[in-house]
Amino acid sequence: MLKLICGGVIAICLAHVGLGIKKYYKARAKLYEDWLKFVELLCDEIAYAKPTLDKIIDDFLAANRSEFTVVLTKFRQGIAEGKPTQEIKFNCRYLAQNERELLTEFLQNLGRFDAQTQLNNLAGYKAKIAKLKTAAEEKNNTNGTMAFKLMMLLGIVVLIVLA
Amino acid sequence: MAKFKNLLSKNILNAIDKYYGITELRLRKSKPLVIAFCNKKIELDYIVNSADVDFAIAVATKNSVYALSECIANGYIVYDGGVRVGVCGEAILDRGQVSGIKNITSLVIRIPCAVEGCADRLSEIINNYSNTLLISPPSCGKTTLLRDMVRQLSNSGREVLLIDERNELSATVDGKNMLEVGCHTDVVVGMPKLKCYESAVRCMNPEIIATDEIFGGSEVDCLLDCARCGVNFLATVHSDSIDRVIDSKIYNKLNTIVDNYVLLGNKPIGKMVEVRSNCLN
Repeated sequence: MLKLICGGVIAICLAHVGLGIKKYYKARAKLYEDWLKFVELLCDEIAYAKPTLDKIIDDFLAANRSEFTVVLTKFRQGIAEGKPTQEIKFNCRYLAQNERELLTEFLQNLGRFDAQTQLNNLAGYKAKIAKLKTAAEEKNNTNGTMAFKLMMLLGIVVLIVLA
Repeated sequence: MAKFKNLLSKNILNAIDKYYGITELRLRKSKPLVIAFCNKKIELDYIVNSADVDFAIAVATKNSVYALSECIANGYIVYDGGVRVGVCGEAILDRGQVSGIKNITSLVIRIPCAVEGCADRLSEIINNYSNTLLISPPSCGKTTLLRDMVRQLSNSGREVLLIDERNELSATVDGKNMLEVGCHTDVVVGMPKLKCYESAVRCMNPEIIATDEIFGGSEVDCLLDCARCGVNFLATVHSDSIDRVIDSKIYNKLNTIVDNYVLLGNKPIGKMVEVRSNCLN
């Protein structure tokens, strides 16, 4: 009986780990999706109405919620405090070091150039982010789902073995 | 805290900490910081770096340089409280037109000072108002005098329309004038002056149109049109003598309509060097 209970607990733990891994990949995919959406919004707004950066960010934050908006909220707070973009520090556990550097560089370059240069700059980032988004979605579909299924399976195996 | 201090990095704030009454700061990359007061300027030991200039630009544009491209193309950024930041760098040309400035290397931060009562010496002109030109070289107090004349004319019941292209006369923030320009004054902020004259005369029915730093023949034509319409004007122009203005090819057209010329000097700043009036005794 004790073995069965232990098996059950281990199975639940493994399912939980699987769920965590799945969530991680899903959050990464959503982060890139929102990042790309933000770049597209920036391109539209800077090309036409040219509102200030804080207004664009506020509009975006009002309609979206993800790990990307967590970073963006922090960035927005920095702007509200009157800090230049280069001085605003943030972290994101869902991104690897090189990805974090890209996000930092992206945010630090916002609002630093005239409209045309800024749009050219954003076009460069858009292509990079679109690639990363596709990769993150593929990983979410493969690694994320697979990890969850494997952990569930492993949990069941452990349960059967112990029982 | 004075608004202009928001534009300054910690290093510059430390460098100017002991100075009061600053009217202007000059930030040039890799050059000493220069600060000016009413009667003098000082070169400090502090060497301005790129970060100082970038900081000021970021704050002045609210991290949105693209939103102010047009303004920057005209060589300035207007910051809160009427602070004007003049910018110098490499021009960005688009089909022969300047569309912006990149690689900004120099900034001149000018802090507006409102001196209520500085136009008291011109009470005779104010009480019997007719077209007046305030003349002086840069940084001699034209804008300050203009603002106080507008305030006094307005408070005496005249309907004044103030064309404040660079927002340094009224320092309007969210529709509120931070500097006193009088209770009968309508302020147009940020609109190119040449576009503003016609709509001002036709839509706002002012008695007096006031504007800072007229420049070039097109604007002189606008003032002639205003006078033809029966609207008085009060304007400032850069020059070091009344005769130079009167003899100038561009500005001599105004001679027929300007009744009062006021020349300001810089020793001390704002000193009235000469007042020439065609209509006062």
